[in-house]
Amino acid sequence: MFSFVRRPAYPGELNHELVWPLAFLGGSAFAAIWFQIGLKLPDCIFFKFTGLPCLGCGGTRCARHLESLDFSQAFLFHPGFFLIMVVGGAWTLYSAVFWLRRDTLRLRPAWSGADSLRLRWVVAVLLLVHWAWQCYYLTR
Amino acid sequence: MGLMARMPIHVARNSAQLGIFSAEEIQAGLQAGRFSPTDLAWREGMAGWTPLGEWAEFRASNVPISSSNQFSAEAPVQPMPAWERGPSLAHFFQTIRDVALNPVRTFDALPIGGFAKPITFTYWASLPAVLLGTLIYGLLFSLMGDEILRPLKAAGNMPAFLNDVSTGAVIILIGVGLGLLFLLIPLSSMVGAALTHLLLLPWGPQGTYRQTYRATSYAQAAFFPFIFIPCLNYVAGPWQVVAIVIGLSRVHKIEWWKVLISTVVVPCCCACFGYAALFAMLAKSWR
Repeated sequence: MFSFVRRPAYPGELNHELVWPLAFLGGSAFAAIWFQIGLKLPDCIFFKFTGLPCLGCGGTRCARHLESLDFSQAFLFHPGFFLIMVVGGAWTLYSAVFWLRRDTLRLRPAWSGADSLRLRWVVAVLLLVHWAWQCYYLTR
Repeated sequence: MGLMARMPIHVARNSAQLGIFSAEEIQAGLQAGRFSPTDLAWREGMAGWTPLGEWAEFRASNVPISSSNQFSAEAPVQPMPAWERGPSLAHFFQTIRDVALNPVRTFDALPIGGFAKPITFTYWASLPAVLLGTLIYGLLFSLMGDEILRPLKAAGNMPAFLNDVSTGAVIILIGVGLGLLFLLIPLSSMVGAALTHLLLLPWGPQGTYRQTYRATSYAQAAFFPFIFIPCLNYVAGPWQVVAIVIGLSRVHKIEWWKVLISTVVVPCCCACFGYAALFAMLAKSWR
């Protein structure tokens, strides 16, 4: 069954408490500067040719609404990106607590081989549902 | 069986987690050679990771470490590239030599490991490139920043707040941008490796995404210091592609031409298609 476990890092394990918060904060700062400068992203070629959004469409609009703290609009434009940002923020917060407490036990997800297969199916179905939502919301 | 003995055991080897198993699975795995006594294991309540060979319950059950056990029977192979043996300046340069001059042997000996070592190597290899980029653009803007910015400001192509910003501040902004790009290296290399792995899937790769990431990271990063040197980049660029193809071919046991199709032909076709579409759209808007 999928669960979380707190365990010490094994030798050579990627420092997830350092790498992902840095990537999250770096990416957020990069996006904020990008928006402030007023630069634009090129149009989606997939959308130009098919008239349907790709899985990434709406991500920038979601980020722009997040920047102005309009969470409901951000979620509607790209629920997946919104959730990634929420998880990224939560992980950054947890990492800050981890470093401040000088903890040795690290939070890690744990699942068996059978759960791994089930998780892949869940992710595939979620992506399909997500795309269906994008097709509806972004082409209204 | 005690409560402790029923708790799942986490097993790791060569900086990579193998999974979570029951004590019975591990016992059977040790006998079959699936696990090695040197594999590290941890169970809830333990302070740290300990080799399976030191676990009392597996020693007590007289698990034979037979000659059929591939891990104990074989003489240890020296891991390659050199960075896999530990980070140091000597290993950094040796890794570049390993990848550039001896890619076949290097990627044959690339152990199944984690993400940490290739990421640190990528950082160390991209540091000179980022510094060189900052130096070149800093010099360019210091010498002729006004000439570059004036027409842009006059044409109204710059955002309003940049109109009032000095050339020096633009140089600082470029430095900050490059610094942020530097921070995003792990993310971008992971996404790139994921796309590469997806393109390799039709050929049935033997290794996992992790191996794709490790091979592409070493093969790309080893050439970073040369890619930004004028003239040398004409040699380093194609050489890098060759190293990537060899690396993925050895790691995944796929013929080199199949890897070439996945890593060069398909992306090039996509890029050409993208450019063609872009030019078609631009031509339409100009008409």
